[in-house]
Amino acid sequence: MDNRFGVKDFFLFLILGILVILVLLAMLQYDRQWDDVQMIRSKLDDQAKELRYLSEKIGSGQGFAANNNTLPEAGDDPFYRLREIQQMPSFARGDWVISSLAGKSSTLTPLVSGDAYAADVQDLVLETLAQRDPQTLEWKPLLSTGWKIEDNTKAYLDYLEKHPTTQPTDPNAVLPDDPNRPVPVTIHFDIRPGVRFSDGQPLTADDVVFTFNFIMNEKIDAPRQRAYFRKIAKVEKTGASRVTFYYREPYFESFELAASMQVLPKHFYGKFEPEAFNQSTGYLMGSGPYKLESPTAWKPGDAMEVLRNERYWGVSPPVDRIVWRVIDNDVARLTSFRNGEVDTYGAPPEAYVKLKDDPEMAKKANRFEYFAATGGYRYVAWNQQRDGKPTFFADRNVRRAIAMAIDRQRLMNEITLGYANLTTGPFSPLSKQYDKSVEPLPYNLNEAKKMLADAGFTDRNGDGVIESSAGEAFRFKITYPTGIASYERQVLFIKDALSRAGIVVEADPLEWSVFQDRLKNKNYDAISLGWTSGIETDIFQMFHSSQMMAGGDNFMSYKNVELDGLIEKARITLDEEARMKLWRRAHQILNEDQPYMFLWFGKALLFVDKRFENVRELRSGLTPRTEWFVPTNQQRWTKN
Amino acid sequence: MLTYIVRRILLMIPTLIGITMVVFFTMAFAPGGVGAALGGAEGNMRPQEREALRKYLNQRYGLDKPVVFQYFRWVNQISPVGFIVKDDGSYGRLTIKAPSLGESFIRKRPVVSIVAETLPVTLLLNLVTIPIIYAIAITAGIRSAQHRGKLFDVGVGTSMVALWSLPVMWVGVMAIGFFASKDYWYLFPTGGLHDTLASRMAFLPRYVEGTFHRGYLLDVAWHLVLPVACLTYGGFAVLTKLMRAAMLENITADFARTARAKGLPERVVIYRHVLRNSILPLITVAASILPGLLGGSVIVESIFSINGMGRLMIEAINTRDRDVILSITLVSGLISLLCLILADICYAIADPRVSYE
Repeated sequence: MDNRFGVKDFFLFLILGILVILVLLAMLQYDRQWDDVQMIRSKLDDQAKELRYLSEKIGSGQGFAANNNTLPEAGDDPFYRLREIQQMPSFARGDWVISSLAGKSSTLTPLVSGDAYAADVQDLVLETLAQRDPQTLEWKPLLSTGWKIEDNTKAYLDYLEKHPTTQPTDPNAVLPDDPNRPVPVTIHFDIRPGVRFSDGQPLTADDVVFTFNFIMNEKIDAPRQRAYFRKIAKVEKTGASRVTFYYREPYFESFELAASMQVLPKHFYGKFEPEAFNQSTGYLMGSGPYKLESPTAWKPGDAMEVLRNERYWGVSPPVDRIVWRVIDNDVARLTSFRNGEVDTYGAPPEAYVKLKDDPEMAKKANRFEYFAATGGYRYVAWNQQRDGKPTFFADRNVRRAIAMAIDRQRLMNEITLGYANLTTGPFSPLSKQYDKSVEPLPYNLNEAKKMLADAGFTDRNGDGVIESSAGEAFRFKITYPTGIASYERQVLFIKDALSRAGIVVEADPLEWSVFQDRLKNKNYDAISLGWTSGIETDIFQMFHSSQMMAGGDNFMSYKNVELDGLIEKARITLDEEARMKLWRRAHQILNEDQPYMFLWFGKALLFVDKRFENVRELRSGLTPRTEWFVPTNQQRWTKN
Repeated sequence: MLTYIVRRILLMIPTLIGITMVVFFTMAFAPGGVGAALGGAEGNMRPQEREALRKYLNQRYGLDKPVVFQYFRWVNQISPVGFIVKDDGSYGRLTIKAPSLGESFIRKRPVVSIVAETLPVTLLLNLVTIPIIYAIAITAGIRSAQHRGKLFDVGVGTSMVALWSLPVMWVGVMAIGFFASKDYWYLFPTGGLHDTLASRMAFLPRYVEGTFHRGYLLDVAWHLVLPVACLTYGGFAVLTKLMRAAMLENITADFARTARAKGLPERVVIYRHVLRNSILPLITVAASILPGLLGGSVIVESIFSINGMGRLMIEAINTRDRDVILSITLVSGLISLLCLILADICYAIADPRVSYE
């Protein structure tokens, strides 16, 4: 046979063998270097700690002395809450918080990123001129030391009256420029001295001006942010440490717009080409208490984590590092929490009810049921006009009757298992906009039937289905996004309830993109959906009659002249007290009119590992993670 | 042979155009349309932002242009020979240019970099999986054929069909529940490819002060155990049956009897004579198994939170991210066609009777 082991084969094996040995040697060498890296890292950590200690000493001695020689008042010190926490007996710095995410982020670069996960990271790395106190929800200075608002709305409106221009219907459009028109609102901010970015460069008024111009640059991929910021005509530096925002039109959220703009460092973001910035996956640097390990290197698939900014200008939060782990599968998420691999577990209601009484869970975790300020509400919208003709829902009494024929309290309890609050309007129950005196329409089937009969709907041919005077049976479809079990059950419940009133309902689940298309063309009878809310919500887009155009969010073709007037007035009223009165009146009208059948605001249900202290419910939700801490003897990820 | 290969490669171009056309137009004519999914999964986008985003995307990617025009625009973009696109969107002269896979509507990044992030992960999973499947299936197939009708044959056949019929979705979740939970056996991690502290690990395993540290390399291997197990168990049945059938055909053939009669030991007869002649059907299957696995790991990737191509594809389909879907189709189409050519060449090598002259 010719299968002998020849010279050629020998050399082949020799070369292969040498290659394997080389790879092994390379691995060993790599491993040896790791020791050095580890040593350098631990030394650097020590130095950084030393640095923080020093700068805190200097800061507490001098920083505020420069500001009129007094200690800051509790109200104006952005860190009064952290200072209080530091006085707690078990307070300690160190350890990590690891949360699980259901989806992953594709970029962490501010403005470009669109998802809530990236926003979560950015909120810890970037800071704003002012922030809402999590307990009182009032604005408190952060990067600024104070502000002054000049409200010139009256002169502006007078001028508009004398020089009428057509108001654009596009909610994002602004009035054409006119140099003679008075500036309606001007806001001055004084920038706090001594603030530094995480690379040590000082934060100045120039950075604030830069941030605004950067957002407004058409080449930057930030169309959503520009939709809001278009209300500002320009931002200028008007003093050594003063910036001034000039508005194009009065807008109730004008202060929030400026105050909540995350300030970007000019020296860092200014050096990128717009195209490179748009396509970047992790250009993130700011003045916040945390930073990315490298301000440019993050990419999807890397660990999502921020570490303490050792150069932080304020009081550094207790936790060393905040980590997000992407776990798609629900079972895996719960198992990781039980294993102690992650520290928080947001449970769906069904799982929450089961885990609530689980002794193992009770041993290792605290649980919280709370309303988050950014939580949303569920509703069913009635299409009042289809193909130019009014539908059955155009009659207000029909909409009211339908709401009354459905036991919304029971519906809510079945789907959220009681972890929600029935709502009567689009405003968050945490907000001052919400009129607490508004009572939900009662559940009363007989009354509902009577109202339907009064509106002309009775069973004329005895088939159990009510008909209009023209003989058309009252039947309609509820359209909802497919694949979400709670919508499915909700629609079935409504179908069941309305069949008792003689109305036939069909379920019409649709894939999300088809769903969107239907909405845009108003091609539906009724839809079920949810909106995200905020501490103060603008309802212009959903309920103002100018927003009925195709693609607008008033896809019900709802119109109420009084409400239109209220919304217009509220949006240009800067005085909070007066504005809240208008919003509350709008809330009453919406409950009366029922353009939506408002359903509920859901509660967030969260388990948090027991080793964290100072996790409490506040008005805005839970205490932020920057205020959690772990006593030294319970720390898991850092050894002391 | 060479002319044959060149001809086959040239034939790939119209095939690929056909594939992309089907995908492109199916997507374009589907209700809802391309790029319609601009909201969050539950419509949780603030109302002010939606319209602004829609307009921006239309303008940037020409989504409001006629569909046929959009397709040619895409073909022009991926073709190495085409028209240059100027900054204002108009077309310049025809030249040789760098082909581009386009940009993701949702992530606004070049598709190449997105695919480059996920492809290695999926390849790692599959390159570990395929040899395991083959090694086990081939040995099991050979032994089943040798012991035809005996306990081993029946046992292996039954259990492999049983494994094949277990859905991955369920097995994966059960595996996490039992093998990755502190309540049962905490043998493996729940998901991901790296430990939380992986960035601080040394590369190789080591003992430090008497305690064992597994190191980065072992950490990845440890994380791969459950996902790879889930990917492999379903693949045994088909290959084992195939191997067994092919072996049985040859094990009683004349040449095998001659070999035995020559006095060759049974081991040599089986491995040198029978096996060689039974390997052809496996090559055919191999050509289709690689592209299949590229997409087939979707479920495993999502159960174990591994950031691979399968997940990317599902995400892109849900958000109607056109350029990403087309690019993945193009890449997997290309890999399939190349595998088919490779299989043809392998036939010629494995079987001297096959020739393409």
